[in-house]
Amino acid sequence: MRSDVNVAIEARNLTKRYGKFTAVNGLNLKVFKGEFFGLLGPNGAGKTTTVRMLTGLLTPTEGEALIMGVNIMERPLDVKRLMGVVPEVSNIYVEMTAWENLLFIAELYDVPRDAAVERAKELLEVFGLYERRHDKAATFSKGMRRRLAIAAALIHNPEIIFLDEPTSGLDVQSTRIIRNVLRKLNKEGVTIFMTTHFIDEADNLCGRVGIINRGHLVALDKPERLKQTIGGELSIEVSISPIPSLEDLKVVGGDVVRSGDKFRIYTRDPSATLSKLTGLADLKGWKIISVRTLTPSLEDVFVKLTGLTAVDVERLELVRPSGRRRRR
Amino acid sequence: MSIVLTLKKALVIAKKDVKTYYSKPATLFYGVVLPFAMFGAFLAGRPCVTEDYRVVGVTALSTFFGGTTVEAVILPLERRTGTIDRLLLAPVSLKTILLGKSLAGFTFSFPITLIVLSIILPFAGFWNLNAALLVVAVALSVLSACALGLAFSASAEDIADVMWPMNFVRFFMIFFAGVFMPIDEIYAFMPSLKFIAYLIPLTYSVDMIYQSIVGVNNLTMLATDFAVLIFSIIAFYYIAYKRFAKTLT
Repeated sequence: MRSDVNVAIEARNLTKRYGKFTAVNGLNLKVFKGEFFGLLGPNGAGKTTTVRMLTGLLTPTEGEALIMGVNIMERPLDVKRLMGVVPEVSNIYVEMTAWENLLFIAELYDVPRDAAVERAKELLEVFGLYERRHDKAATFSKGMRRRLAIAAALIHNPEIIFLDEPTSGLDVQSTRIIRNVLRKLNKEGVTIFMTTHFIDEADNLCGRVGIINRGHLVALDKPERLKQTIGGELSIEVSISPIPSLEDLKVVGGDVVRSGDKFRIYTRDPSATLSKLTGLADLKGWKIISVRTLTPSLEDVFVKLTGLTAVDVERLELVRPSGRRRRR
Repeated sequence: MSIVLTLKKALVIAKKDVKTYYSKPATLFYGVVLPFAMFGAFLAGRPCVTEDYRVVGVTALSTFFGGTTVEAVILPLERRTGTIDRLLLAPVSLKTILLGKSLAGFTFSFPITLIVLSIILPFAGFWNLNAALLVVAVALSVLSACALGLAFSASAEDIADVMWPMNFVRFFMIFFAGVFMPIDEIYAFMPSLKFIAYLIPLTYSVDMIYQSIVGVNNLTMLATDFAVLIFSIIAFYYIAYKRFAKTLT
């Protein structure tokens, strides 16, 4: 069955059940050619199951997955040539060197030897692994293995790349390299489908995001438009000395959340809240060190749609320490 | 996918497996050390069978242990490390992947068996050796053992999950298939149980190897050996395919 010519990836009523448990429930989704799409969701939301169905690693209980308009279950070999997939686990052969890993994958994809050698060299240089090309992958750090796994997925110049949590648990250097490579690939026209539980990563990289929770796609739009959907909920981030208790601050109204040495006060009227806050500070003898008014972030959308609290988001490490909110 | 391309891809996978898994301790122990140790024990014990039969026994043991072991190591390891997904995500069919795994087992066990034979035969005597038939017998026996190993390990995630049940079956087969002594002697105490031997493919391996070493003495049985071994390869391979495919649902 054919779908729109501009659609690279399509899920039609994609469903996966394990006995009575439904991991993914009637997922409908279109990712267009050249798009950088992010699927966001907490752990266990159904992200990996979705990717496994879209890439043909798992047979859907219902529905179908189409890549470039072709049902992957009907013509898997043709479709797999178009895709590069980086699963959640860096599944490279640790007994082999980086070079051997890439050439082995190239052979599986029928990449001619000369082209494979050239491409492997190029990828190892891009990912900062060329100097270590003759070392066994067993000697690599987690970040280096991840980079090698991504390089392996790119060896045949795929039109579509699936990445499942590509930067999860990685060092800063590896994360930066991977993000830069993905941006560059997307600029070159490669369609990218990425799952992540890092909200800032989706916000910074993706042109469109879907939020999945308990197997349901609960939102699907551009990050900025998603932020608008939760309306006028703003917040004030304030740093006060000495650090007051949450109870003390609650008298200014709205939800108050502590984040490190700062507090975030959610409000529909920042101006009035700020007046109350300065009055309270005078009364209590506090010194306001900094104040910022923040627009809704993708994190807020995520919190609202997944039913998690802001505290859950921090506890589950869904945001990186450096990537918090967008300043107004 | 054409047959040539299928074979090419299977060989690429087999080559990778050779490079990756032959030096694993489990492969070396169950595939090399154990058969040799059993042969050593077999020779050191009180001779109860003729020398030619002992050569047949060690040959059958070598094909059987080598072939089954490599498969029992490779697939669970690949599944545990997630590298099996690499193969499944590539434009390679599941049948080709399993064929590649079989070839990896074959390239392990086949040469080892031939090496064992090339050491033993000059000392033991060549009898009425039919070298071509012996090579065919060893090849079919190894392929049958590889397919059996695949069938056992197709859905396992841990080597131990495969080795324990497989060892149980392997030792049962070795004893009842007449590896250590002719089946007429094994079942002499209860001939009615002799049918068990004919249900085990290893019995046909032993007979085919025996006839290739001491001389062809029963053409009907030889043809049966050939047919049963081919059938066992297809049947075990089919079971492996079905069991593996089930893990993808």
